[in-house]
Amino acid sequence: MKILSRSEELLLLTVYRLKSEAYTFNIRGNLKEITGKASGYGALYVLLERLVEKGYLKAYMSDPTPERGGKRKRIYTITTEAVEVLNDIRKVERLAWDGIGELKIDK
Amino acid sequence: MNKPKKPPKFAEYLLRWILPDYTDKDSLGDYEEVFNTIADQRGYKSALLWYLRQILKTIPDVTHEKLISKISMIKNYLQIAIRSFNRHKIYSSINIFGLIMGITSFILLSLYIRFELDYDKFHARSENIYRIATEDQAYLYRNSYKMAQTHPALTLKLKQEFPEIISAARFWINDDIRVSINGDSFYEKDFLYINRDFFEVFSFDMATGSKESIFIDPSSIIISESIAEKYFPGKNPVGLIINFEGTKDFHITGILKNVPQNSHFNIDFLVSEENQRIIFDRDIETWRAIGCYAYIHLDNNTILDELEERISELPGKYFYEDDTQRKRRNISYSLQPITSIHLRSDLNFEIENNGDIRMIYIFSTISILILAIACINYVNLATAISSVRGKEVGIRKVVGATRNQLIKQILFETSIYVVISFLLSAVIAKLILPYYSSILEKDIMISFNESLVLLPGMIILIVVLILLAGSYPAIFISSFNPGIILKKGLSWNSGRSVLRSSLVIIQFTCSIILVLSVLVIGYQMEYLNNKDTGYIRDRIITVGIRDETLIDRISVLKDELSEDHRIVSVSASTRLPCNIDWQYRIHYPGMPDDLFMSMNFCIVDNDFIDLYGLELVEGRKFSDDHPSDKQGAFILNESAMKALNWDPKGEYEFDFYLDGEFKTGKIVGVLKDFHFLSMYEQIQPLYLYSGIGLESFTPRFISIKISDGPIDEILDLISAKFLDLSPDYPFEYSIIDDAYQSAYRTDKQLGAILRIFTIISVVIAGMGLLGLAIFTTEQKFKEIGIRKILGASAGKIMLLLAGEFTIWILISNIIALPAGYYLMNKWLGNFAYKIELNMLIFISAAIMILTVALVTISFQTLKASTANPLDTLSSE
Repeated sequence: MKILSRSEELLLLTVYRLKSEAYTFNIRGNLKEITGKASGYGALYVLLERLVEKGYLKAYMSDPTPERGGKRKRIYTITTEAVEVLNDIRKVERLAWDGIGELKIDK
Repeated sequence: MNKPKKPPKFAEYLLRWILPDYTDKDSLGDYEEVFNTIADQRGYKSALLWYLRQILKTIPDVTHEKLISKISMIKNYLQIAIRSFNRHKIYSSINIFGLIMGITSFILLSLYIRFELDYDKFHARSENIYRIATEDQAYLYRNSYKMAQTHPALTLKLKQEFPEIISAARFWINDDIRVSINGDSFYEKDFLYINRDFFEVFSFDMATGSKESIFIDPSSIIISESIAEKYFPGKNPVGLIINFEGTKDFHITGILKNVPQNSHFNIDFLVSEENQRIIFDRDIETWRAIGCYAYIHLDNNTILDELEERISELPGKYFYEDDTQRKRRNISYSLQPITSIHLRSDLNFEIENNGDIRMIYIFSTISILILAIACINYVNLATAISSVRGKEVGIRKVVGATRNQLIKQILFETSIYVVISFLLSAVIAKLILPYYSSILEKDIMISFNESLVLLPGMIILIVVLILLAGSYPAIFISSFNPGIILKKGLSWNSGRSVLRSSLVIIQFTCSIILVLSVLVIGYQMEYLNNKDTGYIRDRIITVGIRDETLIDRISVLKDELSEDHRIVSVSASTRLPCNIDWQYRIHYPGMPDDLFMSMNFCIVDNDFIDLYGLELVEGRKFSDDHPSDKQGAFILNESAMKALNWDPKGEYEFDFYLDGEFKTGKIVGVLKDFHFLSMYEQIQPLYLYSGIGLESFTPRFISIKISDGPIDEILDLISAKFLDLSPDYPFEYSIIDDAYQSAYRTDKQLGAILRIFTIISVVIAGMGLLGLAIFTTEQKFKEIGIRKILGASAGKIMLLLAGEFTIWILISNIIALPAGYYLMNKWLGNFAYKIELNMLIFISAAIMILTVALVTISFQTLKASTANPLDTLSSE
């Protein structure tokens, strides 16, 4: 099984959720909603491009839109490999948490 | 959403440039969207701040990507450059030396040019300051009515009449005054009588004291720092007394900072203009005389032509009494920008002898030629060496270097040479500067702060040099075909020698033209120096007379001096034969009464003509045997007779206008023409007048002809006699030949500078040729060896080697001589008396260069042609 880092996992999920609206500006907004933390654009670019390299994401250019001053967007979609990995993770996670109630440390 | 807001264009371009390449620049759209959001939420300003922060944040990454990763490459280039330097020590040193000499010369010449161009720019308002020049038909000097001075009355009207004139300064200047300090007397210059606006127009600063003080009390005086230092070393002179001409005491109220040397007038003493009235009883509101210099500070939007016209209408409004006067005077004014006075103005009564813009052109041309010659050396040697370096280039290409990378490498190598040479040149120039300044007698020293101002200029110079010297070698070397180079090697004669030979020809053409100019200028100066001036300059001492009481006792002085047997003769006159620049109107019977002619004149006593050995063509000298001479008689020169169309043998009269009436006198003789002005000028009409002792025209000079013998003793004697008769006046003398020579001093200085830089240019070109000669012979070692084995003599081989160079230089001569002829003919056109350009000068220039070139290369060719063929051939 392939291991993803937490941030990679979160990114892939966000891209999946945003569908055709998955470009950097939206991805960052969405991540902020989930985690409550704003990540830098620079970091985001690096992570996204790394995921593209690994084959979990595909990127294509949209048509130019007026709100970006006529510039194109770089839209990301997840690949089947990513779906597999994510499903794996979900399975592992479920197994790992199974049977554990609220976490407490016994004194 | 509102209309989308956009980040500023410049910031976007900046970001686009520094963004890493892999982002495809599309993220700019993201940035713009974020910008828009922030602008909506928190306003445009914070959006802008955010945008700029993003740019700042990229800097570390950019430095890494765009700079640091390239350092390893640069390290390699540097290593190769150092290796190549070591391998080709001779050529590299020639290159560096050539560049150093070229750049040093360029720096020195441009500092001089800058100094000359910067005249009067230190005034804060220099762009808006103009001098008023006057044209008045009443004053004819040196064939022109145009004067640097103006009518005192004019300046008073200027501010009232024209609102665009913000302030109007005027001053009178005395250049020969006697000041006494604590009982000791000295002659001083640059004594200015100024008005209140003087400090408004000009930017002169005080060291101590207030500028206003001299206007509050007219007997106050401001002195310059150098005068304070000279007369009151280590003391504070404020409050002390300076006596003026033995008549008036001034008390010092302030010290003026020294006037920068690049000002077209200097100041040593400043007093209020009221003193013109108080001391000389001079009308300082008159239209009837000129004498003061006027400078105005204009409003920015003034239209000059229009203002000149309107100022020229003032005499009509306030001065002309009738139409005849208007016709006769025809006064008009023009405005000269103060910054152009030094180099472009040559009117009557200039305050100082101004510079000459043509000299600036000549110097600029030379500085560029020298640089070009040095760059050509680099181009030639770098391309020549490249044939040896072909393998390196080939390997680089095979390994995958692009052409651009090779070009960058060569340019980098060139920039190492240029930057090193530049730094060394700057140091050398700094060391030479004091000597250079003293040759030119100009204070061209430059402080460290000032040199920072020149920094952009230096960087431009370096870049231009790198491109000039490096671009051809870079393109040439990077064009090699790696396959061919690696297989066959590259012969240096592979078709590129056409360019190389033409570059050498250009170099030598420049050098020959320079040498030719130096020769012609030298001959011309020598010609002027040796040309017979028409009067004797040998063993004549002149003493200026300032003491008015002495003028009444001149005959006593003459008699007393003549008693000594070592003194041959003594004469008094208004001017000296080397500079009769005074003109006075003259009238002859038959001419309309209200018309005059202006002519140079000199009032002399009976001994003048004999003392100076002037020759008479017709008639007689002034003499005591003719009592009528005392009432006034004239002697004209040939040019005057010609100008008047008079027969030298005829009898004529002149009317001398004096104190409101005509005094008629006979013309008793005709003088052979002699040069009483600069040798540059045509001999003008002249008259000598015998009425010495006239009140309006008192003699200013005593000329004393002495016999052979030690000059010091006679001087002691003369000095004693003078001090005996006028004890209050310091005794100062000059030797007439020195006075004569000093007129040509600037020309001599410039000639010396020109000679030095010409020699440098020839040396640089010669070194380049030497480098090429060494290189060719090295390449042809084997060929020479084989030729020798087959029976060629050493002489034949020398001919073979030197032949090519000789042809180059002959071609250079063919180009340079006509060009030089044209230029020099033009230059000589400025002179009234000049040498003929003969073939001899041209041939000697050609032979000179050819000799230099052949001697330079002969060592190398001699070595090659006498070498043992065994040594050269056995290496394989």
